[in-house]
Amino acid sequence: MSQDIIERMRASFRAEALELLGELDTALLALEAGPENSDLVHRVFRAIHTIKGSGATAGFTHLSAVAHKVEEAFDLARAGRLAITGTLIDCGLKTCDVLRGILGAENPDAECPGEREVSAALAELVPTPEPKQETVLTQVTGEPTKSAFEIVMRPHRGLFYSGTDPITLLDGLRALGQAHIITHTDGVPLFFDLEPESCYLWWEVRLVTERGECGIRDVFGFVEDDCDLTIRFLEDQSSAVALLGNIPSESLELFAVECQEHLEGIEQHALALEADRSSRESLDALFRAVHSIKGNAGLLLGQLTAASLTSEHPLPSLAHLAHALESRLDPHRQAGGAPVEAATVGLVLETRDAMQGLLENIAGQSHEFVVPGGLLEQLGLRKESHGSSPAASDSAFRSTAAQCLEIFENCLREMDRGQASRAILKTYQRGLKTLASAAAYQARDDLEEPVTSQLQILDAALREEEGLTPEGSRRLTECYRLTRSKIEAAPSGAPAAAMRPTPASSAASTTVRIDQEKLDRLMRVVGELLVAKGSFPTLAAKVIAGEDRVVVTRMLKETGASISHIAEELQASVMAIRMLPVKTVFQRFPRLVRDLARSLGKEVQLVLEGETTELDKTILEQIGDPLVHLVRNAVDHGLEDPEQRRRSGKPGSGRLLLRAANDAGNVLIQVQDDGCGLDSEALKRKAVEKGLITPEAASAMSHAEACRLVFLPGLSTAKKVTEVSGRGVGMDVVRNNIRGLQGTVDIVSEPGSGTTFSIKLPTSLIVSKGILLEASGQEYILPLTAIRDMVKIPTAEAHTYNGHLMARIRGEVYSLFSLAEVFGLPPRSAEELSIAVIDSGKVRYGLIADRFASEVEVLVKPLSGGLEHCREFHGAAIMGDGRVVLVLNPLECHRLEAVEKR
Amino acid sequence: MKRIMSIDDSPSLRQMVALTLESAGYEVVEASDARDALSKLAGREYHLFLTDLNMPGMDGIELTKKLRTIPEYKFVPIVLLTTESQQEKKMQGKAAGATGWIVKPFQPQDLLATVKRVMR
Repeated sequence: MSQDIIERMRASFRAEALELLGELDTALLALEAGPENSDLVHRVFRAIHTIKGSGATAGFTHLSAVAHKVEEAFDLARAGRLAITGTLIDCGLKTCDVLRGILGAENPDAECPGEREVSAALAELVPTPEPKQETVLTQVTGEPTKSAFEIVMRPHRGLFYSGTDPITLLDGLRALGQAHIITHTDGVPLFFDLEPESCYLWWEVRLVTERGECGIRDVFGFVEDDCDLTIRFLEDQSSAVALLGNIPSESLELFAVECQEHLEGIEQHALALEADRSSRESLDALFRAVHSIKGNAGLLLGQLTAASLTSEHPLPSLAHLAHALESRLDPHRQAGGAPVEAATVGLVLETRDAMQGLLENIAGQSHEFVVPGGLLEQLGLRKESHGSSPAASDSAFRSTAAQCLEIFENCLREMDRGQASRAILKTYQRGLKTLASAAAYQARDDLEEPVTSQLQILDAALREEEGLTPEGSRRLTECYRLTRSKIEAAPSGAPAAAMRPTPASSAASTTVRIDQEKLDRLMRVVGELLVAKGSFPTLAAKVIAGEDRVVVTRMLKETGASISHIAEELQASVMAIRMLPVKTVFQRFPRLVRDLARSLGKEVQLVLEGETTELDKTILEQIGDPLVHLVRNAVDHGLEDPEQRRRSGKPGSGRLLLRAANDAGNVLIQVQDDGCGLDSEALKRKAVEKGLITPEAASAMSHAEACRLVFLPGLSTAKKVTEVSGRGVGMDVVRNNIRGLQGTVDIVSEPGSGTTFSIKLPTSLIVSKGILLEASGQEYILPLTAIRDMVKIPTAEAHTYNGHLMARIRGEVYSLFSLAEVFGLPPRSAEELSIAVIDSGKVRYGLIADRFASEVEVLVKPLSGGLEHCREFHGAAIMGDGRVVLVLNPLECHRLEAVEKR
Repeated sequence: MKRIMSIDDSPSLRQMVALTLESAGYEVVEASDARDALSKLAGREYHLFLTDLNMPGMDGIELTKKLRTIPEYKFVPIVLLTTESQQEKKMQGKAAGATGWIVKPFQPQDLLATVKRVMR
């Protein structure tokens, strides 16, 4: 801040202070005349307070200190804790004089005549000045040391109402040092329950900073009461600082994502290998995945310049595990190698789980994972001996070298295209460093010279402004060729070319990856939109030119039609991007079923069908848990022991089918086992025992109805509670979860031959198709997914039986309910009934409306403000013209009446 | 450019705030009290309100409550200018919807740091 500004501020303060002092004089005199006037006390206080505050800001510290003393006195007087006496007024007036003196003095910091007297008099009036409760910030002395912290910030829902943007808090942390921020979205509810003004996210930050915990607490100073905050000093300081402080958070995140993908790949390929142990393809895929983990971990370690990690740190441990596993698999890949033994597959899976645990440690999701000692021994890794036999280490070196060569080649190709960006150069450099350390470990002195000269060229290029010179590029290529020929010329082992990674066959998508085809389609539609847009100026020109109205109207209609067609396409394309194959959920089951079957001593053959069926990402994320529950139940309770199965004439190995299929706008997921089926009598007994149904109701129940009792809360028929399932909770939760996704679940069970659970889910939660209908002059939307049929029948064909209105529609008998009656509106009589046949498995009936208007596509929004309890409605939708129309929930519309009449 | 409203009954403090913030590239609108502040809103976009706590008429806390009822300013950061003797007022201010506070007297760099802390 310039001297000029300070001077201007001081001048303006002087003028203001003199004015305020005049006011203060008047107020004090008035107060002396009327000491009981509290308004006056406040006026006096405010004037002194302002002088003090503004004075300090303008740099008049001395003046501010003097004003502070008298302010304290009047603060007490204001609170009624000090009597307003002549002495107090006197002190006030004298302080005014002193303050004027300070303002007029040459040096505003010098003591002024009369000052001591006033402060002595005030000290008598205010005997024990309150000790100042200023927090003394302890200054960190000496060398700043970096420490690593884990900060978990969970804002309260209403954070935004205090005007706080959590990003500013994260920015504050970033400013303290190197921050690795993980945003957690698990608190975000489904779209329907989302309150746009609430904060659902929470953050986990791992921070390496020199500022200590105080510095972190300062960032959250304003929001202490608005969020739950935990700050933890990480135990393994040196490693945490080394890892987090030296690797950019993006690299670490990318590593974690890729590693996770490879780990999933390992599982898949290992299971495939277990099924067919001579499969070369599975073995290669498995090997590549392990190899990639090792390579990536190595690259990351290569970035930790001048920082060493203990060998127990998860990152080196992960690299060692991958390395050891790779060495173990390699012999099988040699020409004439023996097929993999079953034990090896077990070892692969166990190692995979250990690597998963370590990855979670690295990513900060857990902290306690320790690699089991038994596994280390099996892999031949015991503390100091992570290097294995010379042959194994040679093959490991070869694969590392091959990977590095691959990197160099890619970089050089980019450079040839004129893309010698810093990022490319850096990649090349990192690869070289990895190769250099691998070569040193393997004592390959012959590689030292070409690698070093490449490093020098890159160092120079990274230092210089213009980057890589053509000369440098030429020499780099030369040295690269030399390096390559030296590596490839070395004797023994598999040819390095075998290591060349081929395109990954099938990577699981944990992140949103967009299919190229879907993106292309979107691009194409956008292109069409741009073309269609072009016809409007032409149309406008025609209108201005006064062309024939009929012609112009026709053109306008055509253009409108084409734009609306494009809009539909666009919507479909964007929706398609949100759609993911159910494979992402199904792929966890082979392992789950295998482990489960083993622990229960059962044989299970899992069949997956329709893995490419697509569902909305949100639904997919939430359908996993209910499915796991159903699958566990099927293996645990549904399928029998091999012996038992043989006794009942079935093959010893049980069959579990997990199938997904498209079904008239919905997706149907089935979990089917060929086990013992449900004992409907036992279910009825149990339900009666627990008082869930009456004995009369139980005896009237059909087998199918009785099976559905499993969905009641608190009912379990498991004879014994096993480790896996059977605690009487669950099926009702499963049903509620699925209902939350606007889906339905039904059960069909045949005693002795198995049980099938069928889950019906909407493909997407965002946009629904529905029928706009009318009842008693009101409009409603009926979701298309629930409608099986729409018919018109003469009123005479509907008959009243036992108080129910019924009709035969296409050969089947349905109860009929009039929507108007359901809502207590006067029904309209007509000669024909318009009926929507609702059939969602359990609930089937005909809904009578006055008129079906049209099919509409709407964005359904949840009801709120007390209306959310109206279960007859899913929500409300805004129509194209701005009208709000309620969306019916056909399941509940029916129950309303059924309950009344039963 | 980010627009900030500075509300204080002391012209010199307002001037100091305005000079500091303007030199840092913010646009500053000054108001001499809460009523003046409300009349100067006029539905315009503001990115931050800096208001004194102790003001004749409507005080800073009441002003905060008032601002939070206006949809446009429901989520805009509000920083209270307080003195160290008003600890419990800070809490009242937070309850009324204030985002943070700055303790008077403060140096220009403190003000800028606080502004950066609540506004992106």
